[in-house]
Amino acid sequence: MPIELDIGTLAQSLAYFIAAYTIVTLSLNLEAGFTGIPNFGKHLFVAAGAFVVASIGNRLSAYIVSVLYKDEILKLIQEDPLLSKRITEADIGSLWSMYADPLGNRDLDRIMDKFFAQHPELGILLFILILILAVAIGGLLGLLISYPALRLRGEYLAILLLAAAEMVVMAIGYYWKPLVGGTTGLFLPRYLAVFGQKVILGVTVLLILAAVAMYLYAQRIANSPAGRMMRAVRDDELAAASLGKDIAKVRRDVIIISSAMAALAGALIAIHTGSVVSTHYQRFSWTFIPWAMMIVGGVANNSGVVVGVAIIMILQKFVDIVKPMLAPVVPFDPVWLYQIGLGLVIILMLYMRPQGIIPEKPSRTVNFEEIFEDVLEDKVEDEQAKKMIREGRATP
Amino acid sequence: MVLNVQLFLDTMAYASVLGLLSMSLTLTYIVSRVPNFAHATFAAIGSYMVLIVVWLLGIYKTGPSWGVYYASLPLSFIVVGAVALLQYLIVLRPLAKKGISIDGLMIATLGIDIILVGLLNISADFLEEIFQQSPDKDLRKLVTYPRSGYLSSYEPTIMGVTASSILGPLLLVVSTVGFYLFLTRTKFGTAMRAAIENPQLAETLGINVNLVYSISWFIAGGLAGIAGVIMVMTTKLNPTMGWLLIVSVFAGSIVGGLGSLFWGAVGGLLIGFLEQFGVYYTQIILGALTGETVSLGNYRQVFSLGAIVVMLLVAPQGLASLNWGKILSRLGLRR
Repeated sequence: MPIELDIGTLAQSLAYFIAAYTIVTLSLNLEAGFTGIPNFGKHLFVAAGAFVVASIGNRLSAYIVSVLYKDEILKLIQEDPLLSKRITEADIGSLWSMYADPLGNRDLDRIMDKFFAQHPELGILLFILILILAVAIGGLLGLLISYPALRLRGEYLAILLLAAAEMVVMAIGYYWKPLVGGTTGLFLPRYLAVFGQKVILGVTVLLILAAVAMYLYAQRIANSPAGRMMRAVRDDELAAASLGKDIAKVRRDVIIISSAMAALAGALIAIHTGSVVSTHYQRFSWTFIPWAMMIVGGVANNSGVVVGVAIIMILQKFVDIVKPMLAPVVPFDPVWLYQIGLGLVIILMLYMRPQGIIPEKPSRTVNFEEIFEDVLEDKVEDEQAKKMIREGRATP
Repeated sequence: MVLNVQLFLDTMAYASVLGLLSMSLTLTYIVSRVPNFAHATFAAIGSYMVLIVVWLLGIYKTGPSWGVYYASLPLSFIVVGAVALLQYLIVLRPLAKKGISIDGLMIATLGIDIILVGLLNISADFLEEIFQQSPDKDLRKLVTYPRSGYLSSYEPTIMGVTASSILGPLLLVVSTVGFYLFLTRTKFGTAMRAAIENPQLAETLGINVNLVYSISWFIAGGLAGIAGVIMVMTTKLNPTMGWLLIVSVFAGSIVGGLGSLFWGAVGGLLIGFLEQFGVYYTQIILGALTGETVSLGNYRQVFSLGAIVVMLLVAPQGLASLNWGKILSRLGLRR
């Protein structure tokens, strides 16, 4: 059977997935890799970003539009043959709640898309505002979670985080309609109408830029004194505490930062997809796969994380391509083979190379010899004395 | 209505499922010191055994019958026990021997969970295919069962009460008492306690620690399988049915303290009652306040999550760690 391969689309979707997973896995690596906080509820924080975009973003944008551009939106509604009968001028005030309801969301989405096509500048403004909101709420959620997290160790924390995430995503997100439309989900307005027909490409580019920025940020943290302190907390809490390090503060800050990072990824994913439904944010996709990527690529190594993300995502695309060929041969959906394979990969990796493909490296600091030389140049004038100190024959 | 008999009976089945699962999860935790995230999926495998029994024994033709339990209880005990044993022997023991950290072991159990759910999904696809292609008209009706079947229609009733409401608590009591007698009255049970308490010392005394641990995992898996048989009578069959249930199971184990089998069983039972009655009374209160019918059955894990948080912050060692004598005398129940 011939397979039609559209290289452009394939590369674009691969780039999107790699960028999104890079952000999430880097944030997981900051927690689990560098600081030793086993976050088994990563999908909660990714979902939080997406949920903010859908529930708060939709209400906010519809509210702003209905207040500031009342006449224009009314005109657009009246032009629509279906909606003009159902929504009258009196309903404009409740547009914001209608847009966050799965019933009204479908119809209003057309109107909102048309509206933002006419006002791309408002769309960009709202996009930035909602992104900031998602990151802020993600950070707040991290702060909230950090209260029990500071008191719990290892497996208890993992259980708590996993339980909280399953609760919020699978029960509340899925069944409670006012949040993100329940089982059917919500459509989002096309905030970035400025990209015209190439919205998806535009958001992908934004995601790539965000991933690069997050990589540089994570690298900076890892190589800073804070990064060394994180490793100290991970390796020996008691020793770190005895050196006067505030362990609780380190752990709390790391949780807040990485929760905000995951929420940023979630918000961008939602805007890329153009809709939010809680089933997209399951444990398998956003907790298990990031863990697999981190373990394959390299625990506590940001470059390793990127390698792991690339390997697993290329594998996934490969499975996507092979799937139609395999489907007639095996009497079940080949996607399960991918899940089973990923489970096996993680176990084999732990068995054969638990440090990952690119293992952790000592954090980069200024060379001791360089510091020594600098001080020597500064403090000692006499050339003869310098030579003697270098050779260890005299003490400074 | 303040007390609801049917709700109480349903809760008995659900709570004893949680009791069995929390108890067996505690057993694996005592033995291997790793929370097994695949434990609720063990129960799901047990639930699929019921569907296979209904199909292979022709119960789908004859209707409710005790054969469902006679066949599926031993079958799922053995099958799920074997799965748990394999998990211990192939994955957890070699990894622990290599000195993998607890985080690594936990993510390995999460990996096993994904593998097991994948295998259940493949089995569900297979079963759907078989049922669809079957010349038997009754069997073709089962085609939706592998992904969303209510198997409670095949269980018998005792005086108008569904068997699971009676069998569930019975199995829980029998296994708790059985465990107690086994651990305190038999030589192997004593060896088991010794091996768990102090593996090195037990080994020097000639106890085969590996054998003891393997048997513990087998029994834990078997109990989870039995719990799955009862569980499927209270809910819908689905490969991912364990994913939300794991929250309640862990809640039960944590309430019990993750250190004692008896308190694990009690914790599971309490969580079952807390969830069911918590939802029921919240519905009544919210209904009275808003004047509308409120349905909160889907959010019952909120109570479990609350129990986990409260328990970990108030008494992290669980109910087992509390000084019950002191509490009872404070309450004036004991002098």
